[in-house]
Amino acid sequence: MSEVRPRAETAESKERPDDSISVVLVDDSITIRAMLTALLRDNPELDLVGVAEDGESSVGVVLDLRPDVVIMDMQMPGISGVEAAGQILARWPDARIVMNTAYDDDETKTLAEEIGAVGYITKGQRASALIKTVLDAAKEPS
Amino acid sequence: MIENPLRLPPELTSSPVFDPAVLKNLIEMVGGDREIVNDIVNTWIEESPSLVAMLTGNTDADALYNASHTLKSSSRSVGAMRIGAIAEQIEASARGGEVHASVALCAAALTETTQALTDWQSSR
Repeated sequence: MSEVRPRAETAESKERPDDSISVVLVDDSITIRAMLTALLRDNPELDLVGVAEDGESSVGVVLDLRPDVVIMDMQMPGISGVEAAGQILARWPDARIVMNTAYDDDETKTLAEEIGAVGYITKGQRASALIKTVLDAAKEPS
Repeated sequence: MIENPLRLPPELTSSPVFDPAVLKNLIEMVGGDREIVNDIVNTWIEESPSLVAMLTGNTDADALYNASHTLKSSSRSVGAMRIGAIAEQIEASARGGEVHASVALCAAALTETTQALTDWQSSR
């Protein structure tokens, strides 16, 4: 897999207010990570504090950083987002995880709910819908 | 133009190679910063050949499924609609279906899409 780090993923965040919502992003595609990083960093309410590129490493990143919200790709090679979310929630039940998936069907939504995700977004959604889902997730009781 | 002598689903070759409206929307979503979107396009151009290479000659169903799934999502995020459709077809067929023809089509679409995206980056 490419080791390239796009500017959108490496650029420093804008200054954030103290009450900003911390986010960890998990996705195996560097293109998707670059796009979501750019979208998250464009919103002053959100603070992207960590990025992981696979399910296995995401568990450690999330448990170390304890962000307000995790955006987790459901389908990844190796440990899937579903398995990673399960491992995170087993060790940190208060984690607020939003599942990000290419599939927009009832079966996938039900699976996201069953594993304890607080939100669900599809990769075709507009940025405004993605941001709203993350903001709503942050309001969920932990 | 990609020909379709293998009688694959016609939407695989009828989808536009590239839909610039997707990148126009993305520029709006990131506050009008075209440089960030150029950077995302460059990322796709760098990432995709390795994903297509993972599809080529691969007989492991899980590897085919995962690589095609990633290629589908990343391609559509930059408006690469045809290669996204082909990757979706490979993803759907990866576990039990015949994918070799679609993989060959995917490799051909990669070249065409990379050129279309590079042309878009040059246009101002």
